[in-house]
Amino acid sequence: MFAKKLTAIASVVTTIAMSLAPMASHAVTTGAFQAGDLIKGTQFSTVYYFGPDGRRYVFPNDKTYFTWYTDFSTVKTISDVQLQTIPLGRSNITYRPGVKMVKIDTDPKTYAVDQGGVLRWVKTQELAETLFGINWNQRIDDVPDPFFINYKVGTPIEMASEYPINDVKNATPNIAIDKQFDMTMVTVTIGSATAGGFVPASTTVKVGSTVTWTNADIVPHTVTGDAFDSGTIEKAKTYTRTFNTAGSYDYHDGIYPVMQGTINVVQ
Amino acid sequence: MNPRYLVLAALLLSPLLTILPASATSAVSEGDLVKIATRPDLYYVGPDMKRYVFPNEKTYFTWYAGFDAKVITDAELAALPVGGAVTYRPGHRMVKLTTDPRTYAVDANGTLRWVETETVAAALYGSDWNMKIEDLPDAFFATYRTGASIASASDFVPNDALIAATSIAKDKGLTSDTIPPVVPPVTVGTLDVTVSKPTAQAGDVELLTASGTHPTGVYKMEIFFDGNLIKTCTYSPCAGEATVPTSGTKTSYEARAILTALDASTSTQAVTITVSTDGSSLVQAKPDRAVIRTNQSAGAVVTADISIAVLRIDVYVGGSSKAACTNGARECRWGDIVTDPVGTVLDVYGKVTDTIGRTYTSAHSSITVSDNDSPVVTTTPAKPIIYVGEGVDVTVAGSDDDGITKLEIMQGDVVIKTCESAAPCTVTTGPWMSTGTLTFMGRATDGLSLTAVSPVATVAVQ
Repeated sequence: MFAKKLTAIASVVTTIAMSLAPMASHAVTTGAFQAGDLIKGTQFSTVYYFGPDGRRYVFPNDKTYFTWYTDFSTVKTISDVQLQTIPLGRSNITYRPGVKMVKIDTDPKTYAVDQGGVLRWVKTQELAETLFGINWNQRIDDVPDPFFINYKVGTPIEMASEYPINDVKNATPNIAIDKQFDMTMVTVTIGSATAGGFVPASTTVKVGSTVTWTNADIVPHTVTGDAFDSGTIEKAKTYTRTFNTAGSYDYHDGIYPVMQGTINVVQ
Repeated sequence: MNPRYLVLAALLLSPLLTILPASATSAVSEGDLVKIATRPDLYYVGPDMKRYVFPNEKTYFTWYAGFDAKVITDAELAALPVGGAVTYRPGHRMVKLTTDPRTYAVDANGTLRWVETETVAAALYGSDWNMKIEDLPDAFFATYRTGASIASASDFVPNDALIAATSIAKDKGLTSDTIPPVVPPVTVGTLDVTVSKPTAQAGDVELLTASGTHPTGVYKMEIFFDGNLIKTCTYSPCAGEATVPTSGTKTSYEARAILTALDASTSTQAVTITVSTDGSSLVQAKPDRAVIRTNQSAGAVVTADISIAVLRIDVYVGGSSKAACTNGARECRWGDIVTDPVGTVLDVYGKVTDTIGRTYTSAHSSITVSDNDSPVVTTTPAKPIIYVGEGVDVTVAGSDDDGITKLEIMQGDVVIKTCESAAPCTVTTGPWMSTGTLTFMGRATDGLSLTAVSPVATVAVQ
């Protein structure tokens, strides 16, 4: 694996930090975040949504971000190497349903957003006014063409009753529901020892959740705890375990013991 | 904190405007590069007559050297739906995402393949490989897919991939009738249909349940029975009831669910319900005699299992209810003189209706009207209960208009005594040394060699 120079420097810094950390139980205090958190690195200010599938999801622009969040107070900063270890999402974040209408420059149709980034053509001005109020024409955002493809065009809205705007908005209070993520299926990515190790190193899940470790490195690793041992996980392979009892489960890599992680299981 | 988001692609494409030829032609055709006069953005028109967006200028230059675009009207452009994004031409350059240190080669249809080591990168792209990497904004990753990583130089031949991708349409596998996925789906939707009874009798009430998911969400679910809509839900799971028709000749019915997702796509799933003629084991219908002559009396009895809260029992003979018992008894008898001509076969079955309206139908049997009737045969043990060490006499008697030529006594399936006469036939069995139940049957053969079997008689050994 090779990287640009800045990344290499960042890796060295992290390695030093790791070797200074105590080896005792619950050693992992940095890099604690869980599915549903907003995360960013230190080098870039880009904010990502961390999904339960262990991927980071991109907000294509700040307008999209502000349909979901009012500010950046909940964003957690993680190290750049950890951020880089997390694979990008297979789709981007789309507008929260029921907040704004969207259109593209090169198509006169105005669309309301439904769950899962489905665009529904608002056929008439009267309908737009019924749904989005008298100032409906100030509640339309232009979506740049390259991001319009993050959406899918669904059935048009013929009557206001087909798009009960408050219900639509309330039904999708967060991105997890919008994307229909299963928050009890959580993924931890295994990077190399110099590239973040287990990411997130410490994460909290509900009792009954299933955690999957995916080896994104090119060499084998293990997930070894007091009560469980994955055996060798080859590159691109996974190990899965379900946690049915509350508690804090420390684990490490049997091949590179410097790599440590914790799964906190709560009710 | 003041996060700065990715620069929009429209800005990246802006310089193209000044060098575009102002040729104004119309009639969009597949493979064209098109634009409108007032905007700089270029689009590729696929054979599906959708326009494909170039996310940035670098992507454009992997496919085209110049800017020979056709200028079309705003209305013409608006008529072309957005089909997706153009990805890097395979084999041309390697790419790197803004916040991912991995270097990827691009394979067919926007497949990113991680080049695992510098050695491999140098083997594929030469010693100046690191000059052949272009940055790709994170937000465009969603338009790519990820493939197997490249661990050795033999895993990927950049030039072959480049030559194979002769056009954007070929790279994407577009044809006039394929609609490519805009974005690889996050998850695949599911749809299941279950029925309470995969095998049912006529009159049974079936509970049909459909459950489904879709990445864009469920807009509605519909359940059909035999082509008729019985339930529409806006949620999952969705359940509805249907009654298996009692009149009808179908041997199976279809239960179907159709899920309409919020993106207007539909999926469908069907389950076949087989109509059983075997009948419910809870209801027995037994004719007194299987074969009768014209103008003889015929009879049949229908009995219901103790587990059924009986409201009514019907005895169906020859297609209609000939006797109905509504007193709550578990047994209903029909008897009549049959005047049908020789050759008639009367279908006999029973139907029990319980106190909440469910029906149970027995297996079908028949009474045949013939030149010759079955002998009447009975089996009678001397005692219904005996003690261990005792024996028991069993008598079989038969009668028939043509006379009885043979009587047989059977224990289970084994003939234990044969009498070649019409006189009642008796056998002494035992002594029986263990407790249990003994079953005996008689078989009579009449003068025309027609045989009949008696009902089973049991003897308990205590």
